[in-house]
Amino acid sequence: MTDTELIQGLIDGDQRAGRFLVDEYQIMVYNTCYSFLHNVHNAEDVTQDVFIEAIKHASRFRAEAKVSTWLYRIAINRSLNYIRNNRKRWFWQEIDEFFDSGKAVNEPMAEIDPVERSEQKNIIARAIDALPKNQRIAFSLNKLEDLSYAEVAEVMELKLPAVESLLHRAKMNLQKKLKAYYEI
Amino acid sequence: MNCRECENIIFEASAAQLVSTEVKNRLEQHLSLCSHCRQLYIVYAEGMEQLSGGRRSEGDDGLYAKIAAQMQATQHEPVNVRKIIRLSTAFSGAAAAVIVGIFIGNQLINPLSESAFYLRSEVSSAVAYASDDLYQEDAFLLSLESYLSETEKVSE
Repeated sequence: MTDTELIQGLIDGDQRAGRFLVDEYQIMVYNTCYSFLHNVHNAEDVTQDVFIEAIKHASRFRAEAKVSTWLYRIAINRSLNYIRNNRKRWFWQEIDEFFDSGKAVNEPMAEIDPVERSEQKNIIARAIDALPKNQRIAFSLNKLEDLSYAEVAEVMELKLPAVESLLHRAKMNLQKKLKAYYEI
Repeated sequence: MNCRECENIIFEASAAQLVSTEVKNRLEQHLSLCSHCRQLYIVYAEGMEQLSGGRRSEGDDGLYAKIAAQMQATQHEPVNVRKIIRLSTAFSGAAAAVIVGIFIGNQLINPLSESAFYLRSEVSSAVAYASDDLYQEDAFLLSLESYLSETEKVSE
């Protein structure tokens, strides 16, 4: 099914088109959401929202972009909105996680390695989350989604040098933020 | 390999792939000697690998069914009366606050203006009295003026 046929099918309310869209792009959409949310359940919820928006508003798709690029944009926007709307809830969730990880350390049979590994994940996740919005998007797409600079530029509707500059600044900022953890 | 080179390699490599085998060997050699870069590697490279750990490579066959069900549910969602009542109360409260605000503001801008003491029906009679007063005042001034001019003539 070509992009044009797919979009036309979605506009016409064809269920086969909807199923094709979900089957074809669900891994990409889920992984993009996960790159921003760092949480399986939240990424699953937002993935569903992304497809609902895509199916409902298929007529808004501009033919000059690829369906994958369009879905990346929706996934990024939805994920960032989700983060903005749930900031307060996440604060308490993080506190819960903090106490839970403390419990795990105190248990006699607990393995230290998983806790340490999850701590590393949290450090880097917090550092990425603290980056300015555009740097964060460019960094996540390039380093976690493995998109090329050109693909990042297409998704973010920017020129290639702008993406290079964003990624360079993101790297510098991350280096600064992580210094506290590795400078000896 | 120096620390700067090592830092660059660590940051440039994505979570999935780590440059060529030759560079990787040199990197490992440097990491075994330099605790600073080893710490960076642990925090960044392993952290990134951890972050990528929740990614999926296989899809969920039932996802479309879930999405279709959710879309159906939102289409046939009953009207939420509670929400409407809550919103209407809030709106009417806001409207009342605006009206009270305008009234108080008006009172503050025109404090105790005379017009406030007259009822609409009394306004016309009050105007008539005032004009009478003015007329009488004018008549008094005229008579005073004529008296003064007469006494002036007599004295001459």
